[in-house]
Amino acid sequence: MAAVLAVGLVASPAQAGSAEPLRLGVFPYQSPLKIYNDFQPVAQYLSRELGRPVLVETSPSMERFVEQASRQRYDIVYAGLSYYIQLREKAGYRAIATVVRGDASSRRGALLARQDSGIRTVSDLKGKKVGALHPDAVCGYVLQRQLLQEGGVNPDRDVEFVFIGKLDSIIFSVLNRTVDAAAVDLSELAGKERGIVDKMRVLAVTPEVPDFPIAVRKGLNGGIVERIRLALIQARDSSVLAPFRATAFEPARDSDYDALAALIRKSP
Amino acid sequence: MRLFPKVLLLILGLLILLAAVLTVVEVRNETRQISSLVEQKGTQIARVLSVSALPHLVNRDFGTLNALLQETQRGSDLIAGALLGPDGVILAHTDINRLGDKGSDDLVLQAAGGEGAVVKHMGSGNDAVMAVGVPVRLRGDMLGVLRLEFSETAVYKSIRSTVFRGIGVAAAALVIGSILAFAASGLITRPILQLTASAGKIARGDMSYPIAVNRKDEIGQLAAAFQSMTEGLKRTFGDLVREKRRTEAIVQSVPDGMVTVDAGRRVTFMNPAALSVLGFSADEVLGRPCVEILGNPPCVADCFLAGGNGAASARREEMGLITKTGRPIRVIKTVAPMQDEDGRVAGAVETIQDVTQTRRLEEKVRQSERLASVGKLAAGVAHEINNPLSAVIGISGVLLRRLPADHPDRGPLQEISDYGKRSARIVRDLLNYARQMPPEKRSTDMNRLVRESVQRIERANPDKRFSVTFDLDPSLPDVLADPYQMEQVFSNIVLNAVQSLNGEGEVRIVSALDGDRIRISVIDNGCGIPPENRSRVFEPFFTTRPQGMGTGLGLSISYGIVSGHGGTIDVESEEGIGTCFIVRLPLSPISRGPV
Repeated sequence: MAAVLAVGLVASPAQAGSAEPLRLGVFPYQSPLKIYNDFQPVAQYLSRELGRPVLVETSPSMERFVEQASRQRYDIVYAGLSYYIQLREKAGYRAIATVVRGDASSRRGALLARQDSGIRTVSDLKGKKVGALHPDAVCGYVLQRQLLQEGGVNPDRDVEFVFIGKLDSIIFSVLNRTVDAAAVDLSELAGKERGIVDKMRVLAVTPEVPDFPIAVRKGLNGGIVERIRLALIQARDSSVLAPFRATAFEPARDSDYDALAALIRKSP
Repeated sequence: MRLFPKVLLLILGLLILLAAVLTVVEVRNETRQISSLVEQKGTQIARVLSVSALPHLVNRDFGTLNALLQETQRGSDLIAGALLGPDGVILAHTDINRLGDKGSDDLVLQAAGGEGAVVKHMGSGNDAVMAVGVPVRLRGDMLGVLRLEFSETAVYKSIRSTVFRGIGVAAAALVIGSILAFAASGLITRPILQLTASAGKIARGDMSYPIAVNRKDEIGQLAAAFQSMTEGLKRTFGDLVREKRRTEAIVQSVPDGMVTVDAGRRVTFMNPAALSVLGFSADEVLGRPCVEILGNPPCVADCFLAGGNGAASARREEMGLITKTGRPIRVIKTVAPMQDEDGRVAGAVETIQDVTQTRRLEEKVRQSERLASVGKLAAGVAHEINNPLSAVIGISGVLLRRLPADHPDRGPLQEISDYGKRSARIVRDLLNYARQMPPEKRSTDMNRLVRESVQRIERANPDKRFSVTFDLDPSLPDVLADPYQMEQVFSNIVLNAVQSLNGEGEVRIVSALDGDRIRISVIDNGCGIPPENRSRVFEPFFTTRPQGMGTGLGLSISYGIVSGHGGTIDVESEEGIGTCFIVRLPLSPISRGPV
């Protein structure tokens, strides 16, 4: 089914050359159709810049995406932090650029609670429900576990994590008191309306980590890799930047993610 | 109020009532329909939303739930939407400030306990709200309640719009209705106004006003009937006018005076003959008490009315009246009552026939006849007596001349002679009277003649204490008269006046032109003539003086002389006040010319 979808989503860009097309794999953070549509301008841009076709591909699930990537199916991948760390370690993908949102090319997570909840510190979360994005979400769960531990709260025993899957829903779960606190990616929260943010109290903030990377597979021609990096860095067209919710790209090295990889390895 | 505004107001009132009723009905219908539609729509939205919300609620996707509510609110009448959990906590709300609050109410509880939608209307006008509660269930498990509040402002706005539309329609209906009512009222009232105008004209006597109503309906029939009635009236009125003019012409041309008085004894009409006789103008008499006009004694009508006998027949009597100028006249009055419809005396009509001249002429005729007979008798007697009397006077004269102066018979003889002479003088007067010698007329200044006559009397009666004053018109023209005879006339009249003074008083002589005559009045303030003697003063031998003081022929002779000149001599007298002899002589043809 995933293969069918993947094949179905392969649409050749206008300037297909005689060379083998490059495959841009996008991790399934949204519906496949939306991803395909959103990333078409990116594929077309890269096709023009690289002089060879670029195809957009995704998968119906994260597991399938990781599996496909492990088989080196994608020449270029755009994935969340924890998935990138997996792909780096399992399939040798290496980051060549990172997304810049606003002025920052890094992101951080935080633990939040309602202003009127009476919860003021991380330690107040003992016995509380904490809404989180996903067990693989670095800035939406993994880093917050560290914060809890640092605050003397055992993330496995002292709190009940409720994985809600969407940032908005996590926030609203806090607001409607379905959960007592939220583990959220602060960079994602920045775009939320002021009325919502004002109702929240920040209990603790995680250290900064690099933002989502654009990585290439092991063995991809170095010249092409550089041209890809250059094309991304030079990208200014909003239709190219928008799918990444980026304002720009900046060069990245794989080592920029070493610390993050170490941190994830420590997580259960 | 006139008919036109009544009809107009009636039509307008009906229009307003109709518009109001239609508007009320329309508003009620529309309210019901819109409310029903809003209810259906609200319930439908709530049901669709509850179905859409279910998976998100199951997945705790409150962000999407909130987005759903906010999206639903956008562009709709949804005021507030909330999704409440089974415990009544607000899980999603269009107002994020309400999130986490307890939001249960009757509606939520009712919806949670039921299967279908629960609808409740709250408030009114701009605050009108329709709340819909729908349970969100999964396989029978109650996961929450969706509670939506819709503004019903639109409903009321629509109702207001309907009301305004109704008012607009009513206003338009009023305007159009006013125009139509004006036209319709005009159609009805214009002919009636024309008829009214015609009636007014007819009431003022103008029958020539045409009734131009060319219609075949009831108003046309009324107008035709009115026209027919008008023509009938016109004919009758014409007859009446002609009859009135004929009657007026008769009354105006009647030689006798005619006077009508009302029940208040005031003059209401006087024809020209009556005005002429009495010397008044119509303006002077109309409305005045008849006693003031018809003088003293009180008018017959007054007496008649005072009697109160309305059924009495007309009365006729001769009486004297005084004209406006004070001239006494003799009239025959006929008085007849005028009765109203009930037979009561409403006034009287008098006819006045001036018989002054007739009576005067009759008197003159009688007097002339009397004088003529007396004259004949006197002439015969005088002729028979004259010869013996001449013998008596002659013989007595001869005897007196023969008798010595101291003869004792001389005295009686002298008396015989004197009485004889006196008798001869009487006989001469009689003859003069009887002969009535034709006057030897010549142009005579009557003023001068009167003065000379008075001077002679004064010289002849030096012992009389009286004064004669003259008020003579210096422009009095000469007349053709016999100076000797006229001197005799005025000597007689003035002597008569002097003698009436009883030695003391005043005689005034006035001359004036009187139409085609001259008038010479001799007025004294003497003892006057008793009424019973007034008609006899010109009779021969009528005298009131002592025996031997007058023959009683002077005024008779004067009467004869004046008559012989074509003139008149009249006497007016009031006993104790005085007497006035008026001699009128015709102007000579020369004198009648321009003076």
